[in-house]
Amino acid sequence: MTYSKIIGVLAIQGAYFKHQKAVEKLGYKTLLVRNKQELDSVNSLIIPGGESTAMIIILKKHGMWDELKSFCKSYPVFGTCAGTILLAKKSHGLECFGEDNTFSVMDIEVVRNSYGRQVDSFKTDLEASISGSVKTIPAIFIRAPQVIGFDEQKVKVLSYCEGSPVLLQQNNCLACTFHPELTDSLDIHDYFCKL
Amino acid sequence: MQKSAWETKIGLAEMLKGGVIMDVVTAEHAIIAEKAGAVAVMALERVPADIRKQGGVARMSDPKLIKEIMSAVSIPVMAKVRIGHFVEAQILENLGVDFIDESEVLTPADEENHIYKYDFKVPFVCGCRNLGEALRRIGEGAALIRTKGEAGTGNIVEAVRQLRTVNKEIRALQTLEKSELMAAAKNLQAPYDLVEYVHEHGKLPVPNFSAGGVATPADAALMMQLGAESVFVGSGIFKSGNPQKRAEAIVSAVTYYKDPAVLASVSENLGEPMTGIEIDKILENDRMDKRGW
Repeated sequence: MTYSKIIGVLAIQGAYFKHQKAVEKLGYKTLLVRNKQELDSVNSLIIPGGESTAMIIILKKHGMWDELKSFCKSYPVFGTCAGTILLAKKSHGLECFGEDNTFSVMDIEVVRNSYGRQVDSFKTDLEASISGSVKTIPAIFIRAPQVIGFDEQKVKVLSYCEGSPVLLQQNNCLACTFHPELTDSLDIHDYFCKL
Repeated sequence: MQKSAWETKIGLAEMLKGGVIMDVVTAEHAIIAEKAGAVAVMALERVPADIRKQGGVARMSDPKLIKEIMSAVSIPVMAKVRIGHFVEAQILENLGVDFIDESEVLTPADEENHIYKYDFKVPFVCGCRNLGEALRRIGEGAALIRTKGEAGTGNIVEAVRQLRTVNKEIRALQTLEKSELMAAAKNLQAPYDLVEYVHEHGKLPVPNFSAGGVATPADAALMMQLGAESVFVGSGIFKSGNPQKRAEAIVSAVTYYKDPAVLASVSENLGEPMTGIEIDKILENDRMDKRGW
């Protein structure tokens, strides 16, 4: 029997189909994850962009919060935009949810909607150091969060946008404040799937 | 760096997928919506059920109200303009709303032309009843389409009819040969390049949500199972007996739309739904979904 890896995509809300498509293009099996049973069947997980507040509310209400929190501590996870907000040790703008408002697996500090409202959303090209080389990657930022601090001992910055870290890695956790799933570039997904 | 590119407009629509966008008329409503798990709110002065009841010309909301709602919540805020009223849209863009709904729920300002939406930095959502209307709106620059339903009725029948129509027309286009696409574009009264896109991809080039008539979690899940990518809920929440509970239940129903056990549990004990109206009891002139050309 051959072992084949299944990449999960958290499908509570947001751009989950786009991530699923990107990963399938790379030839991996995928599973949309909404409950514990589905979470138990995947080897790694993508947490998509969307509204972090909505995701937190639904996850807590349906008993998925603690399950995901422990999953993120043990398996590779990749958060984009709202996903990054959820992986961070500290995220500003989620105070209404009390202390336990993120999965707290990356030593980064994030501010929600940090670039402004939708009219300030933008696209650009970035240089990213992944898989041992520097690649140019198209990046789309939608009402994006910004990383305002990180533990330099533990976190590696793979890409910056105008001085601000936008793609970061800590062990097998990857966080990205923009949306690679909205472009044709598969480089970042490919990098994550090999973690 | 390019702001307000086509990709960033569609990008926001992508982020709203699998979520619920709720009509709110006060900052307090907006906070209830956000706490219930809404992905965005639609700021307006009267929900469609009240516009229908009170009559008169329905216009863009007071900027003061929209600003209050924008500062009350952290999720995206949408607001409505009358069909063809590009100055109302200029005002909303100046306020910094995240999405503009050129909506049949308000009284149309132009009976021939819709807004040329490429002129704006803010993305637009527009209603449709069929594929031709959807593609005309996308041709004018809409970054998001929603079926119209019949707003303010609490009756899902029109939303179902329209989404099924769009899906059926998409499937029909896919079966055609390339040589038949120009005739199809002529029949649909739609731009040729967009007809070609649908023929090739089997879907609209922008996300497709559902609106108008959702009153229960089951209604919301029905639209999702029929292929809607998100659900707008207008009068259905704040015209019901227990808005907060119903709002939370509809949010859960959109995430777990294929899970009957969850749907059953969230549908329990929600209190009174909004009172519905049968579509054939509405005078032809009062039909909102007939607005838009």
